[in-house]
Amino acid sequence: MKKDHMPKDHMQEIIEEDGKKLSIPEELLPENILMTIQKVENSTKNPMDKENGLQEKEETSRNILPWYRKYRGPIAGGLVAATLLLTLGIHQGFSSLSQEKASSTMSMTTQGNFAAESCEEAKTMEEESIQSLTLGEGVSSVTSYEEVAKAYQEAFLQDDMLYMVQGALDGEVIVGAVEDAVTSSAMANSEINIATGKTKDYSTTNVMTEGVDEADLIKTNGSYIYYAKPGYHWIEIYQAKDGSLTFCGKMDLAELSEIQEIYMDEQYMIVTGLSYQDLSYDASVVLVDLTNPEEGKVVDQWTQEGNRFTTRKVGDRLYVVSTKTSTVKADESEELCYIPKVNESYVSVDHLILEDEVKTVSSTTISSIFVGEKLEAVDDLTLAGFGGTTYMAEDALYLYRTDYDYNEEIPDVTKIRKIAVDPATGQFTALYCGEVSGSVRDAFALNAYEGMLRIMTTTSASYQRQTTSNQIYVLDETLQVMGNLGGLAPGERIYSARYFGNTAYMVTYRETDPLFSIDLTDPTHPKVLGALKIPGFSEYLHGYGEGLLLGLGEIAGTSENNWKQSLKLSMFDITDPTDVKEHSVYEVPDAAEANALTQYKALMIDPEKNLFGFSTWNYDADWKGRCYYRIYTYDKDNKTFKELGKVLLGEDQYDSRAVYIGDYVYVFWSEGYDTISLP
Amino acid sequence: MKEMELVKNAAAGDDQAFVALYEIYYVQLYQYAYYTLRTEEDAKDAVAEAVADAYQGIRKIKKYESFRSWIFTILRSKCNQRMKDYYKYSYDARDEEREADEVENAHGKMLRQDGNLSSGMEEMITVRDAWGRLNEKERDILSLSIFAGYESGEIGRMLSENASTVRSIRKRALEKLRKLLGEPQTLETSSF
Repeated sequence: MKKDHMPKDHMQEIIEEDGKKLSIPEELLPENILMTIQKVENSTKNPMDKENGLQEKEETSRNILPWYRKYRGPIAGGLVAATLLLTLGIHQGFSSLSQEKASSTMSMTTQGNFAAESCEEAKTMEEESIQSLTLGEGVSSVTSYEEVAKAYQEAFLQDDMLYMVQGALDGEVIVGAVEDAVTSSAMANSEINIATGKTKDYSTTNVMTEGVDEADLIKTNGSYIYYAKPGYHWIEIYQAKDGSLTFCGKMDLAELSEIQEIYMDEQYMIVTGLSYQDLSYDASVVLVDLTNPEEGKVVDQWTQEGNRFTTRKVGDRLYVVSTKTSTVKADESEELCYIPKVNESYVSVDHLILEDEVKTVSSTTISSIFVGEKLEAVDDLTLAGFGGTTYMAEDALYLYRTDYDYNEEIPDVTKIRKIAVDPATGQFTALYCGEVSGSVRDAFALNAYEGMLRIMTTTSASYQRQTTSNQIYVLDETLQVMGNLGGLAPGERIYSARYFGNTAYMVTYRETDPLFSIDLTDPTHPKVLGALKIPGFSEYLHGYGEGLLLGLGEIAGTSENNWKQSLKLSMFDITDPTDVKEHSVYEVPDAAEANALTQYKALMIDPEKNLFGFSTWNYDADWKGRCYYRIYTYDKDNKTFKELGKVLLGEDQYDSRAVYIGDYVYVFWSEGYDTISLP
Repeated sequence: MKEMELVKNAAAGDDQAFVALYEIYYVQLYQYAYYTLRTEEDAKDAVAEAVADAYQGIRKIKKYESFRSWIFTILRSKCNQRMKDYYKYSYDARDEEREADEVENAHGKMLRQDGNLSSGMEEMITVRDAWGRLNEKERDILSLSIFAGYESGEIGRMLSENASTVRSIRKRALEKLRKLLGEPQTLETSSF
């Protein structure tokens, strides 16, 4: 990839100088290092040796194993693969246990579907199902918490790859599928605004799947704008009228330690964030009543363990997906430390599903919640030994994770788990496991359609991933491969993808960068319809109505300053997928990158209104990041992009957002806001 | 290439070759661990474990491009395992406000005392103190770029951020340090 030239400045030199002043401990000097290595290995063989390593923490609630006691056996070379941890952020620890030895009757009160059961009763349940949940191969139900704890401990002690997965976050999104199918989204787009009687003329969040709402930093209902200002601990409320914004105040939610994003509906708002309890941060959502729009009232809160989480909303059903990573403990009686809690209760044994092959000490909990007067529990399940990125369609929630072998002995593999949901009731009906080769760049590479799952991946043949190839798979309802097409654009990687019913578009980079059109009418035999070769690449594709496809991407850097890159907008004519043409290309001036390239929710877009906007970034002469929020429209007749206006933002404003209401675009960033009038 | 030879030999069981490889990077390894974990004891443990893992692991790897990259990845995971236990380093949005005040005050204090920004004052904080005022992510990115020598693209992949976010966090962190340490700033050109 491009070599970046980060300017070395004076400050860096000062830090380096300071670093030079450090005195290296004797044990780490090269002449002593072999002896130190021996000491480390000896301590692991002898758990009682406390001479090296961390001091044990005083607090009993932590009870962390000193590093040398983690391993019961000799350090195997495979632990090198613990370097896979590099792909992950820092995870929370675990909940305090000493006070919480729960009784064996542990289950959530739900809307009557799940009776409280003791572990004794759970043992009589059938192996293959939990209540009415069908399980595919690769996972099984459990009859005790101990089974999960044992599985984790064994996994941890193996000299095999052990992951702390990224968890239930949204990955970077390449391009999502835009379904032509009529769903409840059709209704959403023509909502009647009761107050004014007009149909909706304001922007909504650019979600990945129509019909599946997602939380974002900014939401509007056409008269009020709510902005969860990034880096601050409140939600700002503005009233927007004919181009002017009135600040109405802010909502400071004490219930959350950190505010992340919001959902908005007619009467209520849901705020997602983290809540700090028992020495850890947990996923939490708060239901706010907006009967008085300038002063929300908190009416309920839902918390589940795992600080890596995401949510989705389908109508009045909210789905919370969180991943909890545990620290393996020496004391086997503490099995509860691996079991996640939802609203202070441990998930019940009969809602726990265990991966047959546990490769990570993480479990992902998915809750289905009905948003009524309160947040009412409908269903939940916890998959122990798996965590991944979330992609949701209306009738199923998918988790996927790519496993990379650092030593390159095993090719990249993407594992998928499908949790089928009954959209009418919000209940989980089945869990299936699937696997495809290659890696997935982001959730837009997946698309659920008529019960099938299509997925595009890039396979790599070497550590540095120089040799690659690309393919598309079609999986059936139980995630078995029905068809696949490989060998696409060898040597390149997928940069963006988009699905329209049975036609898929894939952009690869970086030698010739074609835009492929792929026909999926026969799921067992996907075929390439055409490949348009274009300079540069698109990282994000969005259907723009009437046979047009919008691409946001880059014109790749060239020559000496090959770090210099430029943002480009492309419009493709896809009326005939076998002969895709470039309708128009526009190089955005003074823009190296756009946040929307990798954060789809940062893009404000409404093809019907023929308006879209996003913020751009570029280095200025003094190496500062200069950002603008720019809005565009597309002139189809003259085949040109037109910039309708721009606002200068503060430095590095990657979390800026905008909404349009009527003929005005309101732009927000952490240091201010502004308005652009549309012509 | 000399390093390749060393790796080959070390993988074949030549201890001295391994030591020679270690010698090339040992200072940076310790610097990275120290600036990340902030105590000598923790840094020492992290590096010792990482090197022990590398010693075992080097026999197993069949192909690699960069020893530096590989061993720093191992060290990083050792540091991360410890970091998650260190709630004293946890950081939330409220801290950012408080910290912004601290930075401003530190800056202001130095100005008032002396009229100009110069070193050698009693109240001057050390680089390591200032480093401690950065948040986890900022420290991580600076350590990875300054001590471990990673580029923003590589760092971005490790932290699941895009390269330019990494660059801007890095810049912001250096700016913060500059303010805390009273370094003369580059001229502002316009109001950003």
